[in-house]
Amino acid sequence: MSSDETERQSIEGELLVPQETYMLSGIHIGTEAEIKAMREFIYKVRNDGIHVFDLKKIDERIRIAARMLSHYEPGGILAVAASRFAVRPVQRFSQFTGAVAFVERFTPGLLTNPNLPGYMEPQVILLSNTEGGSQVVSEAALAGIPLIAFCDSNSPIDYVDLIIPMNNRSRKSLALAYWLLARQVLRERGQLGTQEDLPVKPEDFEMESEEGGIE
Amino acid sequence: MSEIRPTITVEFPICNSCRKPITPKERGVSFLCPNCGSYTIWRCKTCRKQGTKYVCPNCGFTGP
Ligand SMILES: [Zn+2]
Ligand SMILES: [Zn+2]
Repeated sequence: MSSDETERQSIEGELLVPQETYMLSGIHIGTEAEIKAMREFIYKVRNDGIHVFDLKKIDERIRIAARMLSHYEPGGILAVAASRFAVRPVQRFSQFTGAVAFVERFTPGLLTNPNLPGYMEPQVILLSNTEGGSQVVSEAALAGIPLIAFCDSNSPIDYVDLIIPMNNRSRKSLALAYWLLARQVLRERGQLGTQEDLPVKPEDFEMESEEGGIE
Repeated sequence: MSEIRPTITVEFPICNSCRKPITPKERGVSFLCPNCGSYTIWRCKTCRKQGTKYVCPNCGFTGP
């Protein structure tokens, strides 16, 4: 890991976890490319062209996403894994929050065709990444379902109603983000105290490298 | 004798970003402000597609 990746950001106020925990997961490491709408979440661009996210903004958006999710019944939340490394984080997130996990290949029509077996009518969708989840995005658009998505510095944000900016490509950062979001949703609902933790560590949300899942 | 005709006014929700009415056919989206939860944000399909910013008049939260 280069010194840039562990370089502290000057942050006022408290974060959901210590800054080191965020940094070690690589949650702040974006890509070389950037789309304009993601610019507001960028802390700096490294010499090698990598966009580094502002940790305070990641933290803020996780809190806000948790608040938004707490407006819905647990079973009305559809958590979709659109990449391999998101499978276990999504399963764990759903286990703790009561959301419906969707970790398989997405059949066209699942949100738009009532005649299709497995047709779903969620109240809100939480998507691991818009790159791999373009079918989910277009169906959320057609069906008029609010969409929360983890977006990298170059992710398409079409139809996304709430962006959670972060590195959505890495096993560790996805695990930490879903773990934090699960804990924060439970805190918002009052099912956990404001200082209370989940009974498991973020590592428990992490995909094993040999585990299968969506390609 | 003058006939009283009932007038029906159909009010469509207004897009928070472009201020245009959203017809049911168009399929916009609505949700409670993610931040304060006390104001319903409406977004039309176009603004949603283009990622046009919305602002909550209650708490000032700016999305998406
Ligand atoms: Zn609009
Ligand atoms: Zn608000």
